[in-house]
Amino acid sequence: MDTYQTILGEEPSEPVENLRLTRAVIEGWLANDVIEKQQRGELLATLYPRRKRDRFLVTCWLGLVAVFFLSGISAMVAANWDHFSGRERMSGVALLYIAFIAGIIWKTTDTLTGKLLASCAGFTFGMLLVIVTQEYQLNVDGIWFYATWACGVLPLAFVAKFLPLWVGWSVLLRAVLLSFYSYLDIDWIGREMAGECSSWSFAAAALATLCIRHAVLLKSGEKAAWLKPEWPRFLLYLELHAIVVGFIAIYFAEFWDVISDGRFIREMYWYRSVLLPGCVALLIGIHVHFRRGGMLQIWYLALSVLAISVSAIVVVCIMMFQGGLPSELLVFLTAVFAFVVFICAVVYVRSMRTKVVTDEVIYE
Amino acid sequence: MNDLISEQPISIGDALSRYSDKQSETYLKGLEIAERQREYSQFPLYLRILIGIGAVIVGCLLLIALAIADVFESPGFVLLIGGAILAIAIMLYRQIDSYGPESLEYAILQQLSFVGVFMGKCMLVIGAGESVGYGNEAYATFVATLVFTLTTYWVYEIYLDRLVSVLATLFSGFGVIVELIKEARPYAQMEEVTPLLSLYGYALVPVGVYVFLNPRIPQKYNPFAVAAILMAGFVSVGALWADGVGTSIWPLIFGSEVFHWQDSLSATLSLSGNVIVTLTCIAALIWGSGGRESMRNQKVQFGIRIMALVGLLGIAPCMLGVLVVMVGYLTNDRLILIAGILYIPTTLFFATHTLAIGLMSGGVILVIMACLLFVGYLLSRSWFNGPDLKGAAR
Repeated sequence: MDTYQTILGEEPSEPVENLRLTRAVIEGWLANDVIEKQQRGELLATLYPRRKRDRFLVTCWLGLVAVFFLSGISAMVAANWDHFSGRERMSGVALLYIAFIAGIIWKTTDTLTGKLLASCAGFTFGMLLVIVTQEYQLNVDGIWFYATWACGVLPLAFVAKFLPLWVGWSVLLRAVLLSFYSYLDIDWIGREMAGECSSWSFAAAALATLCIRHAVLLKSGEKAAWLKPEWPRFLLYLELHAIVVGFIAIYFAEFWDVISDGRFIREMYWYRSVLLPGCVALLIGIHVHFRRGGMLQIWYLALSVLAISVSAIVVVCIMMFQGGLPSELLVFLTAVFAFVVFICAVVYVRSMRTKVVTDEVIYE
Repeated sequence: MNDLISEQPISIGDALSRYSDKQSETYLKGLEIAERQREYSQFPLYLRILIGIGAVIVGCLLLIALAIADVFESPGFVLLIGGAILAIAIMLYRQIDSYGPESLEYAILQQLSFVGVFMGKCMLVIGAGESVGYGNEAYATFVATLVFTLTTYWVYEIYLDRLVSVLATLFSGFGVIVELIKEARPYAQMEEVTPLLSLYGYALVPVGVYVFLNPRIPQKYNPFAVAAILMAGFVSVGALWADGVGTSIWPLIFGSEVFHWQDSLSATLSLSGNVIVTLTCIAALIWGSGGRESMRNQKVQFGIRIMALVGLLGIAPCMLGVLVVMVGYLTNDRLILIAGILYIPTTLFFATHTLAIGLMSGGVILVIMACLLFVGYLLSRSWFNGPDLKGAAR
């Protein structure tokens, strides 16, 4: 049994005879006298072909040697860090960086080793920056540090065409954006503005990344096959939905407080009264976009439905509770509303799934 | 990875037809056993996530409503209501099969059942914790989690629910062990307690691996096995980080003055983690090579020796990662294999950052492990290119 498949839980469409043989099945057959010991040996030999098994063993073995050795050496270097002069520290890390670059040139970025070396080089560039700034006491701002690091990694990411490295670079970009608005963080009002600006810039970055990915895939086709895996796209949509739902909650709370003469806010910023329907339109627009997709989009559709459901419940909670301690009846009524919303969500996604599966069968 | 693991050249039907006729009883029995191996949930994960989040949100709102109504003031009442809600939820879940999976009734009953299970579990734990006196909360929480795990494990055929329930029970079980140690040794320092606690964590490793690998144990106990190994993983890393437990402190036994470990760290207790993990690794290696007969194989004998050396001289959590990789490979389970591969660098991070054993000591041990493995590779390198050796199991 494959744990991943069990957790994922798709209904198996293939008959059991066509499924791939696993060790658990072989052991189950032996335990229930379906096959004999010698036959089990033969099946295991087929399941683990010697060439592949040996290659796996050698890869794991040498991988462990490398990982243990490098960790051990780095711990020993760290233990004696104070004994090194500034020049030695910088030249040590710079040499490591050069060695990684040389490794990339030797192995080329078409191989997995080359791509991993490029990722290590990107990380080492950050280490080098830390040591240089410490050594010369540059006292640089966060934005300069992260921006320089991101600029240093960008060429590597372009050359390597390696998705995990691009995801790492995207995280660095978020750090740049977060630190860019830190100058606003002077008092509590400024802190709120900084949070709002950086969140919107995150949403813009996610949207821009999605558009660029889509355009590159359209233009380059198979040449950009490395961009095809769905998980980074799903992460970007997850980020986008989380930010938009958060903003709907905040803006609606403000809006409701203003129109119901609440205690906290007298007047709503004008741009927020524009952005609130904008956020709702964005959520619905994304949902309509996903609805057009086939079975491949079903995970995105579920994400979109979840975001809309949570937004609806949050909006009702704000309207019911009005910033004070609610009565048990009001909370109970909200729970009933949430229950109904989620029943509708589950039935809707289920029906979309059934429709898509039926359409695909008709198409075939 | 896919290239190494998932490209299987043979299907279940092809394998069976090698040894039996397609119409024979043996063939059908083989298919039935294979069918039992795949216990897929009827609903895909995205729907279960949607249902789960809905159940948690609705359950939390209802719990808040109960809290506002002062229901939580009387713990006995909370226990009673929690138990009743759990019983009703199970009853509802048993009724679900009488409706079609695409019907509205099915969705409503399922959602109600999950809300009930969530609320019932929370209320049982809260009620049990409040109904006993000060100092006994750990026992009460453990009993409550054990009760709800035993009640729901065989009813809800959901992998993640089983995993989380068992994990919660094991966590609360550790709370009980801490209480027991506190009672036995009231003035014991935490540094003295950690190795003892980690020993119980390491004891879960062979149990988990046995349940996972044994073909006679039904697949529904796999979440238990995974929870046991996960728990051992957490405890081993925590104990390594806090007190350096699980590192081979042999230089300390020989009176070395170069290495400095936590003063109170017991050498026997720390090494027992290494012994348990190493023995389990060796057992898994023998099982994976084809059973006891495979011990005649020179490769297996060499593997056992190398594993014993590295395991006993090394860092136990790192070896636990190696064990998980081995189990994942042997069972063709990609998720377990990837989890093991990710666990190894995690343990290395903790091994090289814990102050309990010192950076130098940790570094030296890791380099020794690497050297032993490399020497082992050099000695056995020719075997990977030559024919199978004498005594091969298959």
